[in-house]
Amino acid sequence: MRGRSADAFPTPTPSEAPGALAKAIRAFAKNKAATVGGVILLSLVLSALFAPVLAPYDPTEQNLYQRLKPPMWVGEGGKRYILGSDHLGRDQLSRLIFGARVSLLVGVAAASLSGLMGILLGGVAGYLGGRTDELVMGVADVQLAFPSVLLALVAVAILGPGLLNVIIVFSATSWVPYARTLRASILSVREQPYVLASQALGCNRLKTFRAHILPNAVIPLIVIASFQMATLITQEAALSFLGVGVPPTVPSWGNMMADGREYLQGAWWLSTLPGLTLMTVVLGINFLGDGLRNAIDPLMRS
Amino acid sequence: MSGQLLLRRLIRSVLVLLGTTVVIFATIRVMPGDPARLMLPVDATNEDVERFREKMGFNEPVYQQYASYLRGVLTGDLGRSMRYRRPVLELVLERLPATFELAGVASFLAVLFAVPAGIISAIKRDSIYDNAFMFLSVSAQSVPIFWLGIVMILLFSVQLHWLPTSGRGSLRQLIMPSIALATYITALLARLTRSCMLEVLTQDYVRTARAKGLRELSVTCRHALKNAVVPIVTVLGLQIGTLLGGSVIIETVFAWPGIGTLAVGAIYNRDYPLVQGTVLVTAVMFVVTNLAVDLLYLYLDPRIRYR
Repeated sequence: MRGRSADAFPTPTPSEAPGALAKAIRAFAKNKAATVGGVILLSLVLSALFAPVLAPYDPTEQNLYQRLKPPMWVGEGGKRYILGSDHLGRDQLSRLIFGARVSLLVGVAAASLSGLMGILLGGVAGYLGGRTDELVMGVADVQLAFPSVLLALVAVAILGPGLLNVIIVFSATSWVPYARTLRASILSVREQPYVLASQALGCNRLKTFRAHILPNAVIPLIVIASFQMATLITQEAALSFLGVGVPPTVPSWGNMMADGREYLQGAWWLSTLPGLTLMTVVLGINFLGDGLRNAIDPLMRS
Repeated sequence: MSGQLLLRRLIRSVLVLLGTTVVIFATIRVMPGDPARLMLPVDATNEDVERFREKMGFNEPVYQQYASYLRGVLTGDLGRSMRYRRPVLELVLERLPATFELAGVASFLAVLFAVPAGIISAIKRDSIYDNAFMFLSVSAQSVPIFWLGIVMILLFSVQLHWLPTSGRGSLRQLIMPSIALATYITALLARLTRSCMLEVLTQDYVRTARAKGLRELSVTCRHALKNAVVPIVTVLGLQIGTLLGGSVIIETVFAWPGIGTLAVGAIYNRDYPLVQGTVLVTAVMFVVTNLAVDLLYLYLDPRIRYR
């Protein structure tokens, strides 16, 4: 009843006008793909957090009597290994669940560290302008001249494989999109009256940046971060697949695919299932990113 | 004006190339540990290491080392591969055609499928085609390409015995790697074509063309597509980096004898001169392609030329 009467007598006060944020949230909630993406990402987070509880077996426990058992729905697949076992008799499902930890850690850590770096460099470039700007953007151009996979491959090969090195290398090689976006948004708002007003009121550069510039650029940066996270998770798997990512003893999806590649002939599930999991996760994150982008972009919304 | 623009663009490319040589030179010197030890086998004696340091010039000041490295690069001397015991440039040039072939066919396939798909999606916006194409393209952008390669091998080689698993030489060997490599950029281009077409289709001149009574096909292809083509070409050019990076992985999966397998092999063997050479050539290809795209852009969009 209340809603109806409000409709009948609309009072267009500014506080009641639906805000941009509310509109964005509504657009996001209506987007089915984005919701599915959110559910997928949530499952990834949950399985990474609760891996020891969820996994039926220890992911590193070998059982050479139970090697290369197919998943339970395939002919001779038993009930023991739901998704089959690998060439050392390790449970595939448990390894997939624990593999989520590596993917999530690399994705979140590298996307946030590179984001921080990009914000710092893009902020400095956009704000100071001139020589500094040219230098930072020059470094970005040089960085982009190397395919990131190749650069990561070389760097990890020299630093040595390992989870931490992978994160460091990814953080150092993926800051450019953040920096460019932030720089562009600084350039577009730098001369806006509210920024000039804040400066006229005596705010120093850092304060103006924090209070007026960063909030405006933050949502595009989050969108970039979500796409970057998807890319970085794939790249970690690619590096591990090529044998220079996380050490082979750590259960990760890339390592599982590399192991399974030797057994394509008889044990198809070994390399297909981790790939399918990886693809589902990346797809989910991309859906989420798309949803976010569409929700904040009024042009896409209409 | 256009000449000045061209000059500025050229200078920037040269600076970027200089930057890439600094990065490549530095990767090995800046890393912790002795570069000579890194390059030599684990069982090398101290005398071996010292002789090697002398030979490679590691005892000289860093700026002199860089100067002689740069001099080498400019005269086409990229050093000698430690594993193959041959000049790096020779090895790289031998492998380049294979990578060009793969990347070229992949780009061709991408344009062939992406542009019509994008146009249909844009014209039939929000229809079932549009939704299906766009769902397909998000999925295609999410597939890890090395996994796609494995699945294709599993399906078409192991199960069906239709196509060979690896190697280069016949058309049948080219099919799987080029499709796998093309997948990502096809998806990207299809989405881009769609959004460019959507934008162009609302322009006044398109409405004018329709009002004149032109057939829809003519409106779409002659008036709309022509203007949507500029961003499509630009993005395709910028994707050369993705293609080259992807080919590193795809070449490894399909044992395609290109520059990617050469680089990965060099990394495994700690053949650092060869690593540096392959990375440098890849970077040069990227910078040159980008320059070419910018020039093409100048040609395709007269507004930039006459500004």
